[in-house]
Amino acid sequence: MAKYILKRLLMMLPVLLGVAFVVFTLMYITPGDPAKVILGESATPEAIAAFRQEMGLDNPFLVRFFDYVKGIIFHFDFGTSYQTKKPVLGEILSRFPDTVTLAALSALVAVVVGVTLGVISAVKQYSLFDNLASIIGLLGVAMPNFWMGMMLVLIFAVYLRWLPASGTYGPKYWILPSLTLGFISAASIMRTTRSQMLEVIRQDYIDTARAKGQDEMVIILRHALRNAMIPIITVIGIQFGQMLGGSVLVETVFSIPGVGRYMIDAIKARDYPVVQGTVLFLSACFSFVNLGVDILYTFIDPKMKTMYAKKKS
Amino acid sequence: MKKKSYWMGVWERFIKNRMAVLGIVILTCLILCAVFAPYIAPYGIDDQNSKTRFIAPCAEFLFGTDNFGRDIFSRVVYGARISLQVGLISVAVSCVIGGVLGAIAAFYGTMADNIIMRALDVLMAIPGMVLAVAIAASLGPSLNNMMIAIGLGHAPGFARIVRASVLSIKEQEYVEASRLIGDSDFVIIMKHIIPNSLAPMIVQATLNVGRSVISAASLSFLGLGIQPPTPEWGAMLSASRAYLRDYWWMTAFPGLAILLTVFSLNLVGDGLRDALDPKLKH
Repeated sequence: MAKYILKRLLMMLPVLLGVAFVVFTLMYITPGDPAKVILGESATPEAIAAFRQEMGLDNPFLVRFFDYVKGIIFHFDFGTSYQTKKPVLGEILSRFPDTVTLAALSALVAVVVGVTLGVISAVKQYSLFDNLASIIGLLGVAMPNFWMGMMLVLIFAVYLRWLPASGTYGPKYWILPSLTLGFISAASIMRTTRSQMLEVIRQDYIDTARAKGQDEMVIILRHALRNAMIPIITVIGIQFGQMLGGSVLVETVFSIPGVGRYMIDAIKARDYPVVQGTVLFLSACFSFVNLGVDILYTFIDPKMKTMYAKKKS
Repeated sequence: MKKKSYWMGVWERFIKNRMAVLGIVILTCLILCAVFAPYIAPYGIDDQNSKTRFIAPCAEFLFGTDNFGRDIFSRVVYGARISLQVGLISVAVSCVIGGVLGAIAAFYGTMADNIIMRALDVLMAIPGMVLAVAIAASLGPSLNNMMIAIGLGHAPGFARIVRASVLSIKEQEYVEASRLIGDSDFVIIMKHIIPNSLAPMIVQATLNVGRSVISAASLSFLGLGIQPPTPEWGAMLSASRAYLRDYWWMTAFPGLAILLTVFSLNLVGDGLRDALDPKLKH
């Protein structure tokens, strides 16, 4: 197992290098001279030339790219923000806790709501509950998350005055953002859970368990859900990536000072090292989550463990 | 003859699905709205009037008016043009780029396959919205750039689907037979590979139009897509943020328009999936 994880971690390196290349290229071809943006339109040509020299902006593309990668690998240096002149990594890490809190709470909402509703819908197929849940699910995947966030603010903050609309000053402040980000993923998870459960529930071993008088609750949770879990976990992993992307929007709506919002602010300020750093950072998070999902498979389905064990040799 | 009966079967299964029919009805209405926008909208998209600012929905202004006194209903109607256009064109971009890459990867063996799939792994390692934001930021905010950003962002998904279906078709006996009688790669691709990998492509494309509409609204909301005063739904929502506390209608209606559009597209997509592949239906 440890060997497998190590192998996967090593495989992640070229992918992240590729990501670095993609964002670096994207920022390189962006029109506009960062030196002019930072120093202002009134800067003298000499000042701009000196700045370009200092930041290494005059070097050829590949030289700059390799310098960038070298900095990351050897010094954990993701570059320096044009605006604050501070290291990008530090700035990202100081905002990371807010993004992690948002993503974790949203994932909790998504998994609890999605799996519960999905299981109930499957067990009570074609009931009123099932139909209602299906419609809510269909609407959920059709809604832009930022709009849902604004509507929740309208209802719960402006009219009912139950919850705060923006900021991160305490537990109460996280309720609306995590509902917003979690709900849309819950809809996808619910749809997958329902269809997987329906498939599993028809299997013979479920009938066997019933025949031997097993408690229905145990049958549903232990026999059925566990075997339906693999595709559900795949969807949860995909949804987590969506959440990392969606956090960009939700952080904007609720004024949460997280990594996503930092990226948008940096784009507007043309602070390219920060844009590169945030994209790379969010992608690395996504890759780690995917690895976590793959490891989780082996705990749920022992067959997969032996498969990996065979692969290793 | 046989081919015709296949598509007839698909159509019959499709219209039996009530939700899919509902989707196609809503979608048709939206398309009609977009086409006949000048006849439906009572006002222009940028008719500013300081006397009619912030009027709540009423008979004269169905969806109310915004901070410039513009009729929101008219702007939402015209917005359908932009959203449907962005949805369709960006999906066309993903279809072409993803389809060609996926087909090359599957058809021309290990070397091309390895290079293309590793490149796609890299793009898929970036969360979708983050990738679209990065591309849009790099190209600059405009309608065309937004469609490219969204199309590129969704292309890897298409490439994977096409690759998988081409890989399985390639091994079929009729392809081998076609090769044995001396057909060129081009003929094989046009005659066998494309028609037979069409079904998963159509489903993916329909479902992706909805996703693209949401992505477009999201980019515009972040200020990286279409700029005001163009009546794009996401841009309208972005402008409404400052007035959320006092004038709910500025936020509610453009969002409902997005919801309705994506909802109908998803219903049609789901219906097509079930109709094209009855085996998949649970």
